[in-house]
Amino acid sequence: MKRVGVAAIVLASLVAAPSVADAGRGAGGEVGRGLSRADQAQDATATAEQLFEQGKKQFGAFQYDQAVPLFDKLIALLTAGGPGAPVLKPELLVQAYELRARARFALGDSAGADQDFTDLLGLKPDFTLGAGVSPRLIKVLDSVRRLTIGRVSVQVAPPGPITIDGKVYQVTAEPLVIEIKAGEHRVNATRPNYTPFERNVTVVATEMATMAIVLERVAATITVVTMPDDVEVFIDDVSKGRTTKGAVEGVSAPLPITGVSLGDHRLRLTRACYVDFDMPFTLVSDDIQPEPVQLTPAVAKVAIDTADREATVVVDGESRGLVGSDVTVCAGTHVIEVRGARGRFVDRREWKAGDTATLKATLRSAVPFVAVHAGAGSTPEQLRATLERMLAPASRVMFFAPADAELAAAIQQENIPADWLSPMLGLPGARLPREAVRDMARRLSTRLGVQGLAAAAVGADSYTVSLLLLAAGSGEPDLLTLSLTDSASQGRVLERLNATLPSLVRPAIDAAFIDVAGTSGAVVARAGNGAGLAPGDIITSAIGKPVTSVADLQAALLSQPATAQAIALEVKGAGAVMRKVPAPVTMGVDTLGVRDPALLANRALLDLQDAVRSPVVGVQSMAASINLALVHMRLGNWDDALAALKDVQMLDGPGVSAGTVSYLNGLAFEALGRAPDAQAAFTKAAASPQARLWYEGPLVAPLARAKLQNRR
Amino acid sequence: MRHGVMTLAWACVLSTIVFTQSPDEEVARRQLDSGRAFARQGNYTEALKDFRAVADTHPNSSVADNALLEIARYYIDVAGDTVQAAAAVDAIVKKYATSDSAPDAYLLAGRLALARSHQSADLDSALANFERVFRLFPSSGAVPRSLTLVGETMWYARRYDDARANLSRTIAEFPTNATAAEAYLTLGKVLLALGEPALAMEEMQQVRNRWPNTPAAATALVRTSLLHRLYIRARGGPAWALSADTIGPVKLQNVVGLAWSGKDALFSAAETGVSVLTSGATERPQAVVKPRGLTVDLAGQVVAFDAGALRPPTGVALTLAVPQSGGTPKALSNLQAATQLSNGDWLVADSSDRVLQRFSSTGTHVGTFGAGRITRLASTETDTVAGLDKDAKSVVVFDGAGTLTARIPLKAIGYDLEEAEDVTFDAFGHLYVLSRTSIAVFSPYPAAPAGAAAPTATPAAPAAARAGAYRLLTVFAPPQNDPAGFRRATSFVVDPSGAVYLYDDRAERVMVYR
Repeated sequence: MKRVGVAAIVLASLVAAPSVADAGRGAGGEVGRGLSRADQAQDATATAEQLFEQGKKQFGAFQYDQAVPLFDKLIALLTAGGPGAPVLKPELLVQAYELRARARFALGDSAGADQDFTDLLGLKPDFTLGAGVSPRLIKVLDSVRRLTIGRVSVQVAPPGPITIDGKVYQVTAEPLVIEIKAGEHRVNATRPNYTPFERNVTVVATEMATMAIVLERVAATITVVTMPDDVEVFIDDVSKGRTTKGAVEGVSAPLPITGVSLGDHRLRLTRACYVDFDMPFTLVSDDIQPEPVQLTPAVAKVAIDTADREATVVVDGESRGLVGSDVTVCAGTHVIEVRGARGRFVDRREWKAGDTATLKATLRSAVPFVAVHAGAGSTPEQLRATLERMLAPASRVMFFAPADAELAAAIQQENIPADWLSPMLGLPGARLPREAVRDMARRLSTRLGVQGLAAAAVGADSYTVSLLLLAAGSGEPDLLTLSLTDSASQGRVLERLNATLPSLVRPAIDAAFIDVAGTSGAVVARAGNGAGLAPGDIITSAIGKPVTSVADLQAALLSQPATAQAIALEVKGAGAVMRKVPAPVTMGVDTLGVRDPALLANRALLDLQDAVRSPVVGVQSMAASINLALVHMRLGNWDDALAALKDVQMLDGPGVSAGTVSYLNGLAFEALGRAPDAQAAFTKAAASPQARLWYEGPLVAPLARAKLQNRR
Repeated sequence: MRHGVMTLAWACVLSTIVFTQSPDEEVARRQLDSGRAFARQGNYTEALKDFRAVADTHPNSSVADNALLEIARYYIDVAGDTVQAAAAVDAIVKKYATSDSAPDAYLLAGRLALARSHQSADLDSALANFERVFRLFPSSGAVPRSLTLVGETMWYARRYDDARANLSRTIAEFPTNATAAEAYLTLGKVLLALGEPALAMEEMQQVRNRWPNTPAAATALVRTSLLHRLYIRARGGPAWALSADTIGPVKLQNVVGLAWSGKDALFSAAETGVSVLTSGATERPQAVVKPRGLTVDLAGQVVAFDAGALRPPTGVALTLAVPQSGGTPKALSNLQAATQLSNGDWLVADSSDRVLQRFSSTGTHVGTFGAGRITRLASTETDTVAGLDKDAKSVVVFDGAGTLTARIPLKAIGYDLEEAEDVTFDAFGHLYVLSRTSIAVFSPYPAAPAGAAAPTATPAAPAAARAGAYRLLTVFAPPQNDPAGFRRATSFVVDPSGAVYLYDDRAERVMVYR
């Protein structure tokens, strides 16, 4: 009694106490206000379990009249979604129905028990009561089963899962018999590559409905394995994804591609640097998995032939290291560059698989277009490309369109204003001081790893282009004009760009020769000691060739190799006596006509900077340095001129000699405002009676004396 | 038809509107082009009209200065009218001082000064104008020419070091400019004056090396040949050899004078008149009765003179008369010699006078010049005047003002010219004296340092030249029994290359020595 009383109190408190769900409902009975669905579900589950435990306890204590209400509540809670709605905790519901049915049966509520068993079997048609249950109850269950449950035999081809009213059943090759509540049910079967199946089946209690489902195959799966992986797979030119890394090195994981309709198709496999694989295939009915496909590498092999062994190879902007070994590139269009300290080589072409080629990379001074102003009807990119193509035949300078990103980054890093070259091209803008331009040119060239810079602007007529060439270290550009429509004008520009510097070293005899009217031959006007000649001698032949004038003698002299130490002359001396004279020949420095308006000073600067860097010694080296100084002077780079002259050591003598160097130093010092140094240099030059400004140019002594005179 | 008439009417109206609305500038430009076209065709009269129209009618146009420049160039280069040229130049300098014609105007102003004379005042004026070009317009294309002209002017002024510096500067700074060739040629004269004949030849040879087949190259050839003859060839043997060339008739009698024209033709004057001896010459001799001699004017034309007048090939004869205290000028009646100075003045020697008389280019008596009973005269472009004074047994040398600067005895160690018959100068200023059987050449320039085969560092002191001292360079005296010998030479000329053409009265022919 006490036990019951206690249980009753607990039960009463439970019954009386608002359920959590009730509490959650609030005054209006609304569910969930203030709680999320998940929280609500959790609350409901907890309440259900509580109720079940209580009910089960009552049932176990034979307090059936106490248990049934609890199970009522529980079942109401679990089926709160209504008919057809998902059941909360179906296993718990099954137990609740069972226990309520048994409790009702015990309370004599047969109808209630029948209903419960009916509901239970609806949930779980194959339910059986456990051991120890009254046989009468078992009989009741069976009778309910007989009235409410039928069977359906399902066979499906191909075997696999089906759903009946949403519940999944695995059907093997053998028919699957399923006990199921009598009534109409929906059967679904879906498979990849098959037409989805859906049909209703009516099940009669105690009878077995039979369903043999044959799914219609409409597609198949092709599983692709590639070697290597990361290959893009196309079926009929539609990408189906890429193969991924497999367990075995070099072999991809299988990539199944489902839903491929039956019939003829084309499989294409592509990957950069590989030859596309192309294969037709036919899907009849079954899935297929072709053999792993080995793609053939699509590469070209490029050998680089260049004299600069310290140059690097760059392909599409990425370094491949020093020249020396062959370069492999994928089939396709690439930009292959060879970049050296003295120049660059650029090759743009399309490479096909299997191509092998040797690129003869003659490095030319690299001059990228850093500023281009196109006219109406074209873009800067188009103009750059046009000019690059047009100027490609320039053999000594390479104009090219740099990569946009590289150029933009360099300009930004060096803080170069966008219009720094515009005034020089005739475009609006304030012209920057030469020193500023020079500094920017030097920094930008260093950043880009080039020897100079170029810019271009189209004129008002849309065909005339002003082209600017600025060597690194120069603040005064060369300006050229060409017409986009006139090949002759383009030819003239190329001619100027291709003009080689005249020889900076020439052979000389220590004597002066003149033409005399009525005399065939070159007459000696002055002869140095050791020349073997005397004033009045007439040179009639040189190296076996007749000499009728000074021009003939000079031509013979210039035809001598650089190593010649003497030239064979035939000489008519006093009294018309003939003699042979091996006149000593020395190689003397000559200088450029830097005042020559046709000279492209920046082009010359590129050549001379290169010459100074090259490994030549002796008179060649001196000639390069002196001429480099002269070009720097022309460009107003006085400090660079001094630097170029610094290490030039020459003896005093005829032609370009120590006095010449002194005079040039004097000019540089004077321009830099270093008066005492200029004075000293000019004084030295004034004391060099035979030194000349160029090979047969004016004597420097009078020029130096004039400078000294002006300074007083 | 009505529509067509209306259309035509509108066209006429439109064209009229266009015509009357043409800007002044456009018309001026077209007229300047028209004038230039006429000038190229040689039609200077019409060219001048166009240029004057531009300058007078469109003075504010951008080409008015160009028109004035064309006028100035015409007058100085074609018409030889320095007054008109000066007026045009003056107008540019005053009204268009900053125009692009201004530099050339200053060049012309300098040239006009040089054309006036090579006296110091005019040389200073020339120098100032040339220097203005590179001082005021340092970027002008006229700068190279101005530097060359400065060098040339300084040569006239005998400022040889300065001349050398300026000419060297031209060559150094403008080596490819055409004016550099001129600079080399002038530098040759300067270097000779500084006592460096070998260097002079070497520098002039540059013109041939660098500007072959040009007129400057041809000039360089003759000049180097001349210097070679005197300074190299003459050291080891005779400076001349008889040439097989013949010139003039086989027999030529009583020649009183020879002259070499600016067009390289040999003229002779004899009792019968004036003749051109060079075959193929384009010049025609003037008709002169009983000529007394020949001379060459500033334009290179051969001027004959008779007893009392100078007779140019064109234009009127200049009858010369010396004013007398009584009022009536005394006409000269026994002219012996004549020569023209750089300013156009004539110096004449009359046998009745013991002084030279000086007349303007138009024949107005200016004054006397020098002293001496002069029978032959010669002058240089620097107005050095040499006269053969047989009475004084010497060749006297005067400067442009008539001051005696040197007296060369006809006989001294190394030569005997007591039978001197004629004197002449070459382009460099060497003095040639012809006697009946020999030729002596004297140089006013210092000798090169002994053994010098190379240029000297310091300039040789030109003291000797400044003082007017002459030194003997060479004597050509072929033996009389030698085919090259001459027995009675009476007159001679030296051509630009130094070849000698002399008249041997005994042989009665012109002999050529190269």
